[in-house]
Amino acid sequence: MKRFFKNAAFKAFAVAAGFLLFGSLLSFGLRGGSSPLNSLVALVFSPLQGVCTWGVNHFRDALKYFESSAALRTELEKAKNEVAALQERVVDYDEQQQKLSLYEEFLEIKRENPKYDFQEASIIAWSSNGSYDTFTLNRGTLAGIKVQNPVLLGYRLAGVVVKADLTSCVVQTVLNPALHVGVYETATLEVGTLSTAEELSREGYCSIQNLQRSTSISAAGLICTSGLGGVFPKNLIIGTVREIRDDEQALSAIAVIEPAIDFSNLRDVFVLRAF
Amino acid sequence: MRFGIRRRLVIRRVAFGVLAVACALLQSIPLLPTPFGICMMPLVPLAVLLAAYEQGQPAVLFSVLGGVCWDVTAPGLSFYGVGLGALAAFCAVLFRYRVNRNALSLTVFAFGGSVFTAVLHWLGSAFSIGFPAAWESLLLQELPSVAYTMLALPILYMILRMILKATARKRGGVRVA
Repeated sequence: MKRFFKNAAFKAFAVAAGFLLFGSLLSFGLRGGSSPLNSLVALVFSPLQGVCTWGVNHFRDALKYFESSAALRTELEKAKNEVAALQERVVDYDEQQQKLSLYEEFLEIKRENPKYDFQEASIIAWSSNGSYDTFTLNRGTLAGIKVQNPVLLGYRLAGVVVKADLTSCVVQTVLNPALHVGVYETATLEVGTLSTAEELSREGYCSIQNLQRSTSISAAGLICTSGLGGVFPKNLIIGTVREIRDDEQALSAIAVIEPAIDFSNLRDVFVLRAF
Repeated sequence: MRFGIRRRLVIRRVAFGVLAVACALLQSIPLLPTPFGICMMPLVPLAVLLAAYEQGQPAVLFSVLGGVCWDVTAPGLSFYGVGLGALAAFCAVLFRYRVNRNALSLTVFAFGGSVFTAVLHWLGSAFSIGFPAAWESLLLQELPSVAYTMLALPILYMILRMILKATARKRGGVRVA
């Protein structure tokens, strides 16, 4: 036993252990995280470790060239499936984002108009003639939708329900020549009736017909619903005046209106069941 | 002549130091295979071999060096430097006064050191995740790592013997370590 404690190896260990333990206590006390000897060794060891890890990773990357094509094919299939799943998630995410911004817009309207009763709906079909004058929604009478309910996108008027089944309804948009809406221009307060000609509808515009030739409505004026007739609430935005032109007989003027809604990108709307 | 002996001694000790650092690197970089998450601890059998084939003080110091390199890569506070130094000192004294250097004694000491290290690892994880959950890691990771570590003993022994042979001095045409 005496020889054990007198041995040079034990003495070397005692010195090294004392030094290491002191360093550990010091690092614990100073909350430095490592002893001075560890820090000194780390100065040389850590860069060496980094170089070796880099070398090993590169060696492994180079070994991939010798992998069998069957293994690579399996990996490719797996990657393709993962990409497809991720793309589906991205599509879902985009859809949810759009719905979220739509709901935020309508929350604002609901706060300002507590009496408004909305029903969210999605467009499932457009008119078969390729124009945007009619579309079908995926909600019907079961959701409380009735004929003549206005259809909105935010504060913008999209159209009105003209036919309602149990689970779907047909909407005429503001581009439809059959739709007539009482409107007014916000700057001049001049009133009129929105009624679109066939040619303008095909071009994607609506119009206010039979205006006086001396009308004070000018381009860039904002057209909103007047609320007259009780079908539509007041101050729903129809669009902006694009130009004022004379009609064919030059007896009155026509205000060509660019709708506020881009119907080509319209997906989700809200039906105003009560106001 | 004396310069030749000294030069061989320096080369031998540098080679042992490099071997200790290399074993610490092998433990910390993703080079050695880790079947089922089991890791090898080559520094433990190396400490035993250094104690058997090198003088006491250098063996302890090289083991401490390897242990300190292990401490650098270990998370949190660790005492591998102290532990490996203790193992090397203990084995050095026993090999000098009591035990013969042979395959059995090397295997027993390496195995004992590996088991001791594995049990300390297990105790550390048991205190952090709780004893019931830690039994699984003892059976599936720590004890299998002991068996995996013992594979390093013959390989390190051969490397050590190569270094000793290469740095042995010739006496009458015969190499003497």
